[in-house]
Amino acid sequence: MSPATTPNQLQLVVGIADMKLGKGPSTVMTTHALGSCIGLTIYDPVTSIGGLLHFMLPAPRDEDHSTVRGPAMFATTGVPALFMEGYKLGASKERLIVCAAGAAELMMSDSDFQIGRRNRTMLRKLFWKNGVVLAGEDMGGTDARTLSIDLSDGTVRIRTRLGESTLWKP
Amino acid sequence: MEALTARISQLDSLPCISEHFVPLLQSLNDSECGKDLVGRLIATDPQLSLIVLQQANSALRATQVPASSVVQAVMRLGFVELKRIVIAHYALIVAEGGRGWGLDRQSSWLGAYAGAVAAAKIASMTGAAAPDVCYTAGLLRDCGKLAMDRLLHPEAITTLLESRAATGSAIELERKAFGFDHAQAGAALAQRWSLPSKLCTAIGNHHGPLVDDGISNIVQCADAVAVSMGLGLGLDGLRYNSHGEALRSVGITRNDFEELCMETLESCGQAFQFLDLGSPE
Repeated sequence: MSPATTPNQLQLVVGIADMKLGKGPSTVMTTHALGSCIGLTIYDPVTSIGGLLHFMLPAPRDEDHSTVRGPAMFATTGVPALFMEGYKLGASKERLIVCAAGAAELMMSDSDFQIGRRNRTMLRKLFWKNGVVLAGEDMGGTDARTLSIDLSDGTVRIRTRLGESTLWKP
Repeated sequence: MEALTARISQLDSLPCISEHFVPLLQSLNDSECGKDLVGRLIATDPQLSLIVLQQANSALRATQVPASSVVQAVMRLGFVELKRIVIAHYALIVAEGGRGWGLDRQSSWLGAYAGAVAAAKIASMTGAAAPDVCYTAGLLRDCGKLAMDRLLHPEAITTLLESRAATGSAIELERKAFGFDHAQAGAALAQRWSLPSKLCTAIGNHHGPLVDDGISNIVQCADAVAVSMGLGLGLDGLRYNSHGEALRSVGITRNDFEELCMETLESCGQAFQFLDLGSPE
């Protein structure tokens, strides 16, 4: 399920509840098998700084919870951490291109266990509060997704059982 | 079901799980159990015996006198280490399956292991069944994928699951296309392996319906935990519809479910370190 890369490209894999940032042009970041989790990419086209977060749950129950589990586990801690780390590297909020994929759902009506839906709601809430607009998204449904970002130009691709598609490209 | 069992019995290329697998795991969970008995149970599986001997004589643990019998190896390794080796060995057998679902060995292993850990945690949390039995059932729940990969061509399964017209539950799709699904194939394979009937039932019902035997519903919940996190997730994605009822039936709350996801992920990370498989993706 990994996207094709050229021999000189550095392929970084982002695990579950994990986050990576870097600077182009020869880096491709990929996160595999997004189920209910969400993969979030940021990219600054001027500095070629980008990052990928794979968070699993909407929010920790309390502050201790996120300290123990790590910020990348949750939307409410992972999303700010991704943006802050990007700014530290030199990215600018005004230029950031933000894409999201994942938040798939099990086929059940019981909303209590619909982690994907709650992840999606939390992400939208965070972005609405902070004035962030998604440039590309592919969320919901029942399919697993693999998400990648190419830091040479910020192209974001997703792969599902139906094949590969481009979520954003310059 | 009988016809399916007969077809699986005729397969000659299937890996084998020793009928002593379940008593062996139970013995390793029992601190009072003698090392001789554990050694004898391991010795019934030549492949496992070889791995245990190799581990006992590895550079990390070797002494001037090498362990030349399984019992000596058992004494050198200790039960905690042995349990890790045994579980990793059998999970790797199950992980041979899943090619038709687009899973490589590592993803299959991760799905099996996550289901095992989650099932044992749910059993401990609810007290509804023995954690070690649920662990085994969770570990082996998708063994039917191994049987279906061999009974059919994996490409046939892939084509079915990749089809744009393939909507609805993956279990129903498999049943419609092939006459049986991977849960049923798993139950038949478990019978061939002479596993206890309660394990066969749990494997056969890990995507529903609800079964009032204490184990099956827990294994369904464990499957929900694994697939929600994307562990062992293949072309079938999250296209299963029985998990909500199962979670309710065993009394799992939303907070429990999230806690289970986090703890299971943590255990998977530790297991990957032990097996030197990199990190879970």
